Amino acid sequence: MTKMLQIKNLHARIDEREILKGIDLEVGAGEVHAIMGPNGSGKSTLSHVLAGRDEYEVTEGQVLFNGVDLLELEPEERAAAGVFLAFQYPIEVPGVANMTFLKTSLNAQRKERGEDAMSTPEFMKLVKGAAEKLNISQEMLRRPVNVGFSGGEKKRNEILQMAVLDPKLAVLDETDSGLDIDALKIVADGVNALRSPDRSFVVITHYQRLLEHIVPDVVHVLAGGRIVKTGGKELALELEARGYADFVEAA
Amino acid sequence: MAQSPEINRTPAEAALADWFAATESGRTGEGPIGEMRAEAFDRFRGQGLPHRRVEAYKYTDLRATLRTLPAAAEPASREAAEAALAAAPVLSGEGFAPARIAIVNGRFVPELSDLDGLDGAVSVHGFSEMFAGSADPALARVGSLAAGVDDPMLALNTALFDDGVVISVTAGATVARAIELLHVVAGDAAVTTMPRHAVFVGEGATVRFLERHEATSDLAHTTNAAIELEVAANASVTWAKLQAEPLAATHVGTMTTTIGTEARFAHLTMTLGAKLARSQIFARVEGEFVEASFDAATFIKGEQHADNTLVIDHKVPNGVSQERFRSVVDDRAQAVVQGRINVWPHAQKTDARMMSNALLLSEGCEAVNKPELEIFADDVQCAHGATSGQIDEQALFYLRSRGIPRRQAERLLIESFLIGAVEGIGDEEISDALSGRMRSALDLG
Repeated sequence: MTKMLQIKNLHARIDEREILKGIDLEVGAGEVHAIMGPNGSGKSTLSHVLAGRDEYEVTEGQVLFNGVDLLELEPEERAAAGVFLAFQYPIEVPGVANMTFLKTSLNAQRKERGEDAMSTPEFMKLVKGAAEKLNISQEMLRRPVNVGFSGGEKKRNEILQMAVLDPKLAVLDETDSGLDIDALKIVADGVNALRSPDRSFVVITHYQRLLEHIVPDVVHVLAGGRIVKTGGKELALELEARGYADFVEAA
Repeated sequence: MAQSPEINRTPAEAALADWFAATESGRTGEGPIGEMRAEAFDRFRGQGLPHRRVEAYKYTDLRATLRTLPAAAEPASREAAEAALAAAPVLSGEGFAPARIAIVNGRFVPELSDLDGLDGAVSVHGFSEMFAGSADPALARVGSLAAGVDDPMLALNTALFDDGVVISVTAGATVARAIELLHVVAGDAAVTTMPRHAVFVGEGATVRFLERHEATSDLAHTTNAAIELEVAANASVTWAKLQAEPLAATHVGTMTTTIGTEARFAHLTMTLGAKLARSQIFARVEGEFVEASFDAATFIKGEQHADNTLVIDHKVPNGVSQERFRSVVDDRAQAVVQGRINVWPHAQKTDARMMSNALLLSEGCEAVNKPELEIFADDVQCAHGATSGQIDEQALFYLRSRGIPRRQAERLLIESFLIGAVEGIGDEEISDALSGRMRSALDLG
């Protein structure tokens, strides 16, 4: 069976500086892959390249998503195809209510897919259900997107967007950064609730602690722009104990 | 009246001289407020239409733009007036139904106005009615609030205005229903209008105004409007102006206002229309502990030129004012912001902050910021800042990564940028109604 996500020899650079130096990665439907690595190894670059940020230039390689060449698509087309990136630093959008933003996003994706817009009652029900699980208040839904949100609220809001947009592939870019234990648990529970045989996750993190809550099927170590080691969930524990020093040297 | 030597008078200036000569004040220097008019026209004639060598008009050269002037507007027939008012866009907003003062071709049309619910709290009289002999004591005060402001376009309006309204709001009254001054032009030829309004808000009164200048055609009208506004002590006045004139039009609007002790004044100018527009405010803080805010939201494109000029005089201590300009400029349009804060020698503890932000959407557009602070007191807090930038790529990517197409995402970010100024008015009904208009304007953009 073809894998949901196939990354082959992916090279990418920004401002003449090569950051990804040949990534190979395959993620099957329903799998959770963790990508760990030291700072500056290219973790965030990989997530942004997958979502289509155009400041990164892909110089070589291929990304297939359910057999489609992802790199040929605009960011909004990737979203409609089912790719979701949870940002490490979610952006504030003053003057646009969270609820309006969710509805605009969802219906834009449905339109791109040739589906009808979701009815307001159906949408309200969907958001209400998802918000409750993430401990997101009605007030937060009415507020402008991420404006005045705490770090934890912003991350929960990312997961809410993910729950509402219902992607096939979710890339979580250091979703654990800036979270205390309680917030981490809420976010992890939110992610776990969305795990399903049709949905895959790429969880990017520096620390092992997130992976205690979101238990991965596969763990990769990214260093120097390449995946230098792949293993099971026990690899994360090994990294926690020994650090990244071996890999930094190896890369 | 002696003719001053006039060299190189433009056709427009000649037409204005003829116009004035045809008025009662021009002929005799008499009539209601005749002396004031004659004096004002003398002042105007001394300067002519302002041009780029006049510092205050450096970026908005009216003499060059208004070489010729459309004919003075005649009163519209009832049918034409009705049609023009009906053609004005309807403001959206849940349950927002302001009282209406209809101004057609620069003239108050009481029979097409809706003043329900204002009884006892607000009186509205047309100038022509007052000139004809109605003895409203407010008439004697017209011009008093504009005195001391030396501006050629204001002087021109004083000399030539035909009509407009004098509004008095009773002291202590709270007027629940917002009052709109809806300006439209009827007929199928370009005309010049010079409406004048004088508004006196009594002590402790609370009232909201929405001044609209709407397009009902694509004709190249010229408007030179002036408003005098008195905000008495402890009053609370909200004033929003929407300038959405035809894209071929020229619009000059001047507000002079005085603000009394412990009064609250919130002003918003939204600029969407006209080929060349200048909205200017001359505000004087005359009582202590005033809180005033002046916001401007501008969205222009094509060949539009929009100038927001604000001069605020803090004459007494303990005043707080906030000036916030947001301009979105596309194509080859040019936005000008001139903000001047004068703090007088005894106006200690003044707190005045001015910020101008421009969002540039094209290579060929331009934003000019000219902030000026003149501070003669030593214990004040004053600040000004200006930024010009493009749409934030990171924010754009965030929206697109959620599935929102580029164009729609840009539109949302523009709206998000302008909304800060629109909501500065602090009145949900009015900001909702105006943001609705802004959104429709962005759709066309």
